Amino acid sequence: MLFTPGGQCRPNSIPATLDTDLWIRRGLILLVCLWLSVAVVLPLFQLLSMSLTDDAGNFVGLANFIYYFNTPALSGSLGNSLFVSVVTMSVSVVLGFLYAYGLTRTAIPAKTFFRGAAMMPLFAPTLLNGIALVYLFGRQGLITRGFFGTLPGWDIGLYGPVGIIIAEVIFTFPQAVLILSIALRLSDARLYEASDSLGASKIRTFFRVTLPGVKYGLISAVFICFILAFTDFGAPKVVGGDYNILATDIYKQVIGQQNFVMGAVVSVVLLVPTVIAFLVDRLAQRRQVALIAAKSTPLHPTPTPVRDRLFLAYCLLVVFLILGFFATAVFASLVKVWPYDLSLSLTHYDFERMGGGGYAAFFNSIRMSFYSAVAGTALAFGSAYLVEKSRGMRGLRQGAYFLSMLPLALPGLVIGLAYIFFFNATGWEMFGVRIPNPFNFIYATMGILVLSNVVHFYTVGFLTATTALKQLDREFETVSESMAVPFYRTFFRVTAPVCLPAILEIGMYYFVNSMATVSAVIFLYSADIPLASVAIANMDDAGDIAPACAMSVLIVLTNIGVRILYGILTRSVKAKTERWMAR
Amino acid sequence: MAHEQKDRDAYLKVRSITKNFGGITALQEVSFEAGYGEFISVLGPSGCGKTTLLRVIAGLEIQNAGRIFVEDQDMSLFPVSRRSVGIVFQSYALFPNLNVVQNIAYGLKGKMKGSDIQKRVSELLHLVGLDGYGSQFPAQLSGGQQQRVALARAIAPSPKLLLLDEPLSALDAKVRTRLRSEIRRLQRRLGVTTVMVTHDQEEALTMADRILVMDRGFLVQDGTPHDIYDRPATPFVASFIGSMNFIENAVRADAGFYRVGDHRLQVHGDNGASGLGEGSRVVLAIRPEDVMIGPNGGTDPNTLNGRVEGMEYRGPVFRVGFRLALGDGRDIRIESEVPTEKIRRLAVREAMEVPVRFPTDRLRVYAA
Repeated sequence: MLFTPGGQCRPNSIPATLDTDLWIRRGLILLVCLWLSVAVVLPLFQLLSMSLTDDAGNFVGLANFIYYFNTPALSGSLGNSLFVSVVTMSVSVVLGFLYAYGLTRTAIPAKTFFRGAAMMPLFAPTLLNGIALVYLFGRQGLITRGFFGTLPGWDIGLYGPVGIIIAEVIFTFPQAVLILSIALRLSDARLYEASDSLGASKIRTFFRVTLPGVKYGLISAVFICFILAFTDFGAPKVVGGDYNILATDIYKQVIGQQNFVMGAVVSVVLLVPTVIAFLVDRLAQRRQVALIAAKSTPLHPTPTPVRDRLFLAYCLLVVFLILGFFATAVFASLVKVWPYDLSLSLTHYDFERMGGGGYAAFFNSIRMSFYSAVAGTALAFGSAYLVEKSRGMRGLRQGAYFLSMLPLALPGLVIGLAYIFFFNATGWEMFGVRIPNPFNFIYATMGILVLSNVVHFYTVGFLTATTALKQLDREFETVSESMAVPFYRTFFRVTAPVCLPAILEIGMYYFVNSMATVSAVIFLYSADIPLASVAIANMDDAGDIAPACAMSVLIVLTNIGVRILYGILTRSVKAKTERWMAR
Repeated sequence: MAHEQKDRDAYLKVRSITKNFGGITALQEVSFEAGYGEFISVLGPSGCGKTTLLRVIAGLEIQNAGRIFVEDQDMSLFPVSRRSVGIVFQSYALFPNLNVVQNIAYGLKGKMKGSDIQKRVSELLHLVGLDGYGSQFPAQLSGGQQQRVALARAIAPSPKLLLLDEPLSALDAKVRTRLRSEIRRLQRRLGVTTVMVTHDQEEALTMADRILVMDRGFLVQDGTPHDIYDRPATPFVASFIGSMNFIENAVRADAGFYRVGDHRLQVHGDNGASGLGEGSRVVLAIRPEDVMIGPNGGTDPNTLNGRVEGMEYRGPVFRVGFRLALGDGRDIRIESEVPTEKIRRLAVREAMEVPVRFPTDRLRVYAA
């Protein structure tokens, strides 16, 4: 820092301002803080203050919350939400742990395939989880009707907590597998050798070495699964029935009853447990990082026939269920009239007769996801670069880092609702002065949709970029500076090219999630910009479940296509990188 | 007056630099000068402030007080980019996606014509002995080669100062020894004033024209390698560079004589402690290789009877420990480095009694 106070020597021959590079960087980090403040902090603030006012906009303190908790019809949803999320989380973490254990600690074959197949649900909107369940366990479901009467039927009572929990388990399972495989892979082989040599039994080793080793991964998986299930909107919308939960309540309050204040109140009720879970998860992750810092010897599982066969059977079963689940959806979308006329046709893919926007909505979604991917990747990577690779300016950098973590704690519905309140406001009265809203122009445009996605998925992109940047030599910037090369040239010539794999990954993540998300955008889309995921929700509302299913399948196919494209691009980038490495 | 004269000749002048990080003082009023083309090595244990000093000279940290001049121009608050310094880091920080030529040319873009850049780069490639490696990527080169690319890249823009931050510590011992002389030769040829930070005393001794020894933020000695080794200014310098025997609780008797227990040790010219008065408590010091052992009688001054206590074979020499009785009930342990040939000749064995002599001109005196 050039302007640290103190010191008797302040040579005046050269003003410090000549360090233009430093000032550009400072300005940019300030911009990062500024845009995150406008896109995250201010809308959130607007939402919070909305929850403390009455319909006329007068401040009423906690009156709304007192009313909420004194009205069982409303507050019952909190218990329901907690119940389904805790059950989902328990089931998901147990299933995910076994699966991840199979992938990392046993000698089963085809691990790449198993890893990929488990990730399938990540490409689908959660609405599809609900729709596929309807086709399996709904009133006319494949299993409810015993495969169209060939077997005895089984009605599991889908609509309500059962359906929500199954859908959310499918939704959260890949996340649990991802987090737990990373944790399980990091374990130190020497600990196991030590345990073996001390004559500990397998079971003792599992409880004394394996579980403590993945403690933080487990904590993280527990809280991430909880947050995902607690805040998801898509699946409960389809299979929730009369079982009220917070996410669907917000939607009903805002869209159904136009009660924005109560919508804001429920949002805050949803937000509080989410933020707590988020903080616990952050804490756990920080500990996990400290755990890896020590050098360790990677563990190579040795074949153990009985164990390996058991895990292979388990993994096959899981993959069969996941693929069967999505196959049902694809099949249902192609069937003429489920369950009466099972001949195949593409009628449901002809959305012309349907509400929701049809192919226009689908292509809007693609456009929106593409813009979100480009803008989000640029912002996430650029901000991570400025925060990670600047010297000095500690306060600013920490501020930018904190703001960048914030979006991860915000459910999509909360972002969507906060954006309505903030961007739709024409202005604010402050100390008797009217300030017009300079951001109002973005309301009901493609811009606000893209912005909501950029913010919604920002933190994961930011963290991916930070991890990649941390692997670069800290002195690249210093060396360039000493040679009087401006930082942006080094950024474009060295930093960005070397981080290209991470940049592609962030882009893919943005695209796939923007395609599938419904929660934030359902409040923000306008009639002239319909979206595919919103169309699914609306068609499902109207009882057009087959076309809704067809639209979901289109989204999944698009996302798989993008994932394949990502794979190809990554491979060609890798080939280039290997050229740098080849001897 | 003499000081003024020196000022004019000094190419790099560092004046009373103080640097704090929070409450910690990393540099305490550090001052030194370097002549044009001089190779200065900053040596000290980790945490002594040597890297901070280099970063302050580079402009990567701004000092809390003090000034830095190069060619009499005050650079104290210049940003790095305007200081004209070439830096080689321990990690080299070569750009992995650029080949050797692109790495070396990195700082030249926009400052020279394209054809001139080409000429300059091939000149540098030749200089560091990497002709024909231009299109290789850093990862394809050995550690030593990467080192030389980093060096070529640093000197490409013809900097006024070359700053080396532990430049050899990432290499294995053999390559390191070879590169020491190579860097030294290159530096002489370019005549670029160089400051190198190292924690490796051998590196500092073999490469530098002058060594600055630092300890806890203070510059404790500034001298030629010979000065530093032969006349270490403080017990810290003495034990940090090479090894040193200390004889504690000595008292100055009269000019040139010191009492240690019942013994009187003579020190030629009061080595290092001319200003001390009679009765002052001092510490005497002698390097292991200066400790002489029998059998030439007990008649020379400073000869004590020692008892062998521990012998360690090191090839050409033995490291022998002696237990010396001081006569007042105390005894001390002295390490000595004795040529293997002498051990053989005198048939030195464990527990053997041997006369041990401290040559008067090799003892040093430090105030206690």
